[in-house]
Amino acid sequence: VRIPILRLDRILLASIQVDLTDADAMQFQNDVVCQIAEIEAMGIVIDITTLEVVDSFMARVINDTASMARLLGSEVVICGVQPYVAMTLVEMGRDLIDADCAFNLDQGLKMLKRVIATRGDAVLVRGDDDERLAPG
Amino acid sequence: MTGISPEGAQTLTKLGVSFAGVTSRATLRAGVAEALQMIGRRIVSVKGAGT
Repeated sequence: VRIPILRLDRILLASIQVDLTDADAMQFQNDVVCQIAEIEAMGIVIDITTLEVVDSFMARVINDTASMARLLGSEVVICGVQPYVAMTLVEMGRDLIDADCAFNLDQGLKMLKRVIATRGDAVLVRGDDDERLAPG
Repeated sequence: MTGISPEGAQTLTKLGVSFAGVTSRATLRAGVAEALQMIGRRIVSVKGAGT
């Protein structure tokens, strides 16, 4: 299964809606990294609302993907972590998910846009140097 | 830090190298913009000069 990665202007949106095999997870990671580099994304939202189970490997893949995205100059927000997923992740060990988290997609996008607006290169997106990208 | 390739980012992350204190940007252009913001300056065009 390939996870579709949607583009909203300079933000990417990936919604994981099925349980991924280890190979699928690695493919997803690779796709995300390549997409970010291709469009020089300012940020990416990874929505895991429909994931009922996140094992340590999946948590690691998400965390690594976030680190890679940050290295490529993109902000990352994870959204829709389910209560039981949150409990498992914390029980398995701290810092399994090191990225910013939001409750749902709406808040995730808002959070991302807020962070992007404070960046020094936000002005470049609009192509003028007078006004910043308005948050929200 | 600017100009990291997708492959480079994957390798660095898998090696476990931490760049916690480093701001990373995709392009030199974005990096310069970020650096200018850090020192509270920006480049603007001079009114009435050039084209």
